[in-house]
Amino acid sequence: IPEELMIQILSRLPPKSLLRFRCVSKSWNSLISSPEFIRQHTQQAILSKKPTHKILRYFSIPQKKELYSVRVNNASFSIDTNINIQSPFNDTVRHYFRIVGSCHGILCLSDDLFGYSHVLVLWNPAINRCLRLPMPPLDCSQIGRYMFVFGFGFDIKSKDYKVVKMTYSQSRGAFLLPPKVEIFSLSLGIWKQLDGFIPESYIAEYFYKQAVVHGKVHWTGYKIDVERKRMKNLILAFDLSDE
Amino acid sequence: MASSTTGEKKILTLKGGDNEEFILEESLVLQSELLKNMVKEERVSSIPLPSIKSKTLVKIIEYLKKHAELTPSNKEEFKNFEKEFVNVVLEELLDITVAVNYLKINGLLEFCCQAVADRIKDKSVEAVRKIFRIESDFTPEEESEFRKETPEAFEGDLDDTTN
Repeated sequence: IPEELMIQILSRLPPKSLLRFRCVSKSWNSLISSPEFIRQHTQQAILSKKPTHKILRYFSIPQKKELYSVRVNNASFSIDTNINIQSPFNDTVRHYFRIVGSCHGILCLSDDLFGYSHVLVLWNPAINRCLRLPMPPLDCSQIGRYMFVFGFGFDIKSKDYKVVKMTYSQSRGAFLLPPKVEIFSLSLGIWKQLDGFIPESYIAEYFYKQAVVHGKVHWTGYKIDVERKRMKNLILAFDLSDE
Repeated sequence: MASSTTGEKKILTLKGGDNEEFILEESLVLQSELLKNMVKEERVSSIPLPSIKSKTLVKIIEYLKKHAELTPSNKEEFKNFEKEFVNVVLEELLDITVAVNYLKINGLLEFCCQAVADRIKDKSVEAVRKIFRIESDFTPEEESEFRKETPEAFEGDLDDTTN
């Protein structure tokens, strides 16, 4: 069987089968693990319009921990189709965490809802892999009080997953503009501080929800208008490709 | 063999691997990108396809005919035909898929690839090796590493059969 035909077939397999078939042979393993194949598999999954899955997060009081299960989106809440998956944090979190965003079945989770913790992970529940990101370079202890927001998405241009962090320092009860911006690239595995011109910016809401449209991360933001003593609400966008 | 014409329709001969000949209308083979280019570039009337078994060719021609008859009103019927079409032993399905890939019949290729994927997704590693005639080059230790790393991928009822 020609290799490009084999790729066509394998890219239509569910993740569980692919994980198993890695041990068919060395060449199958390197094929299945290659970034090109993973990209093609993601593409195929989007094109085929299979029923999407949703992950349910719930807290078990008797077990005192969070449990997760995967459900097929269009099915009713029947229990038998559930697949239970492991928590990405392995009990290192005391509280529930923030879901920053999700993209192609990968979730970006952060433990910053309660206090200034720095656990930030990318989690792929389908293959049960979790990557804890390194600490961003900006030393927050130097800048006093601050607040930060994250964004997570896929940069189509460089075919890379990116996390963006915007840190606002606080002075006399107000957040200062512009924020310090840092970007994590999954393919490089490192954070990069954005220097240079930051256009007119606004403060993102702390209890934010992000939305990624056309490679741009959007948050709801606001700016305090001192003269009129009111707040302007608006949408803040960050283009992952152009940085 | 000379090019022949009956009425308005051009006729073409396909020669399968075991020298069996199939005579069909030229318009039917245009669904194959490979044959379309052959017919257009040089005015051939007979195309040898030595790598394709006659049995496989019969199936593919059957599909080409059905697909040419596809209209919005018999869509359901065609879907059922497609389902039956891939309902053959796995070895035969692979022969068909390889031939369709060679002939570049795009719609059918996607359908066949999905059918193969559906048939192998619950197979065991050993079964997959047999199906695709692959020798393992992993040591048992290396193999058990995979099992340790992702035990959930090896759990459940796995199918050891090759058909």
